[in-house]
Amino acid sequence: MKRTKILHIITSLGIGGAENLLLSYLKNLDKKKYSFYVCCLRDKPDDLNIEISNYAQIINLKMKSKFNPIVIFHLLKVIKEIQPEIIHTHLFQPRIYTTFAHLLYRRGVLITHKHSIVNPRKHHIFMLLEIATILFNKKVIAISESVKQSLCKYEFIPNSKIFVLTNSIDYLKFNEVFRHRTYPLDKSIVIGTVSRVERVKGINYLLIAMKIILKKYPYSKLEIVGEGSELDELKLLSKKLGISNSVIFFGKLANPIPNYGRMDVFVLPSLLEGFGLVLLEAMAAGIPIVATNVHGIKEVVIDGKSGILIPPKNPEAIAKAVTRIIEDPQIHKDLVEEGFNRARLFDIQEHLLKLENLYNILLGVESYQ
Amino acid sequence: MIKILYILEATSGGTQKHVIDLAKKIDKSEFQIDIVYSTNRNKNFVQESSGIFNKMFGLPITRSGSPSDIVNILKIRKIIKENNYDIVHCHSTKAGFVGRLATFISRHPNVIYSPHGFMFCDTRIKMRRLLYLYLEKYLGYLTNKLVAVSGSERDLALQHNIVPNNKIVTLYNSIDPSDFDDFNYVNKVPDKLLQNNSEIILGTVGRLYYQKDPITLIKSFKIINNKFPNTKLIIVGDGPLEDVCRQLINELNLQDRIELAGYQKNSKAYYKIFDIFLLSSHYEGLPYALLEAMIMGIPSVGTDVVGIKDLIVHGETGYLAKEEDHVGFAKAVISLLENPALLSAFSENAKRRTKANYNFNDGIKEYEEFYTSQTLRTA
Repeated sequence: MKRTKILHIITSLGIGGAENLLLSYLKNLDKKKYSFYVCCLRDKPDDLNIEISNYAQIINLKMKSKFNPIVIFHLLKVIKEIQPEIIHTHLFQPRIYTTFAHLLYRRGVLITHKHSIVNPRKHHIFMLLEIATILFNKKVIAISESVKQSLCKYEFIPNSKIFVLTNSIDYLKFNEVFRHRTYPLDKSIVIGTVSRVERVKGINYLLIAMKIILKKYPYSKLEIVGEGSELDELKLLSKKLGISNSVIFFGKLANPIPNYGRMDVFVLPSLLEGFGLVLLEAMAAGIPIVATNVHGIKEVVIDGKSGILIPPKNPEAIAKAVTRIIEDPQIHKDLVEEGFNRARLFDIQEHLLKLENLYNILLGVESYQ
Repeated sequence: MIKILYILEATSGGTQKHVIDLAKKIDKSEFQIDIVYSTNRNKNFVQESSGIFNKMFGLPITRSGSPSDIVNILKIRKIIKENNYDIVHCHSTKAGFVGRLATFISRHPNVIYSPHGFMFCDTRIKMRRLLYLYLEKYLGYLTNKLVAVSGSERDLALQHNIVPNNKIVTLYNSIDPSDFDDFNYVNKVPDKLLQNNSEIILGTVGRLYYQKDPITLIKSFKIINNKFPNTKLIIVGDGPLEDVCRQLINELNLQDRIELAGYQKNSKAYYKIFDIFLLSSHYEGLPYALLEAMIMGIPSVGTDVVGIKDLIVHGETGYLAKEEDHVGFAKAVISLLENPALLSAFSENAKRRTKANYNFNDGIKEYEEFYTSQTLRTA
């Protein structure tokens, strides 16, 4: 059987939600049925480069600046050369550039993957550009219901064009690090978070909360996995608060799974979140969750059942929720139990089946149901 | 202005850190440092050392011997001839080999060699050991000064007659304590022993290969873990023995007790979660990993070998055990865990000792004086 050529276009191959999802597609989809090409616009960061090259042919356009319309012609050349049946774009820049390239050379079905909710405060020109380009795409894949709703609300995309494919995790891999605990919990607990270190992630509030927690549990530790533009600022803040002894910045880790094994409570203090995949990972690893009640997270965590939700920008609430989990074994047990059940629903296998189904429909192998 | 050429093959680990630290902090108005580095080992070396060196020459120097060395030696000779250096300083065995031969055929008068751990300490194959030993001896004739990074390394060199006494200088490796002042070791082991969920974390940082002997470490951890089930071992680093280690871990059924964290750029973060630092090497120069652990005040257990016995004072900053003796090593760790109050004392001592003896500000001055005296001698 002839293999279907699929061309994925993405900004760069650094570590991130979209990139990891792409990697899991390449890894898990049947290689007898599909052959993959990955085109990335930028050279750096390229952490996943080696791993992805095992599964797909990588084409690097080595773009220097964000705004560079000439890339459209490079993309055109790539599409001409590969002659893909499906072009699958991820993130904003590839979406825009590829749509233009596809308009000039119409070959293959163009779909796009929307990895974050629409930010209504973004400049109108960007919004208009995105609306226009999405309309030229055959389908737009939304990673969660709230992304779909935001697309309908702010960008007026018709419902029929949106295909919801909820983000998912490799449940078994994370479940491996789960460790059974005896109650009551110890005083030296590890509070953890995994996220990019950016302003929208609200980690500064977590640091302030940590100061409050340390008063009660002086032996607790905060482990932060991730990198970003705020890193130095936060290191300074932790010094200023006098808690640098208990706060550990791990930076970017290629494999954070062992770190989940150490955490006793997982906190995600985001101010804005598309989906919060890390929360599912934490649940699969059997870690109770404290998170903010912003849009993307509400879909993943049910307050009081699979996690405790708190208002954003509120360090006292974080500290209170964390101490509640530490002190009440019943809540701890329930959260872990419910977390397992919740995370299992988002296992990657289901997700892959749906994606394959979508590909088949687009290729005309199966008809719409 | 003194012009120095560094030759470096090991562009990762302790030697790299040593070279970059030196070049970074040395007085730039008096010293100008160029470097010949290997493009084979660490792909990010140029990026990590940008702006530190005056000129950088990348050559494909391999880790072990190969015919391409002849080409490299000729290329280095050309670099030395063209740039008129006052001093050529070779770091570690391989760079010492190609660098000293290159200076010999270019008739350069002033070559310094830092072994950073002698390869002939590797006793697995007798022939190879003798080969390395005699190579070092003959190349010793071509060397103007040999820099030992620790007292025990100097003794070893003298014991084997690598170079005569007057050709050896001892300049300790050193680190900057201000890089580590945001952390204070707190001895949590007594509390962790009383509690069920807390893990006592034993840790090590180092490449997984023969020199560091991770096999002994894993075997001894099995004994420790039998006695104290809530201990955990974290090994930061990758290397050729990774698969062997994994297999051994599976055999001993320690999958969830030992974490192979792989190579980490930011290994400092891991020190913060270690309760005890372990180092089971066969031989060392003066290990930076242990030095860093000690300056952060982490109590340590190490093997009684060259490089480590300089740093760990038995019963004062930690315990020493015999090389390759996993039972003895485990006993040392267990006796520490049985008297956890000792850890606090060891921590204090380790910190005080490293700060006093291995302070970077003194270290860099010694190097500057050494380089200056070397050029005066030849002038």
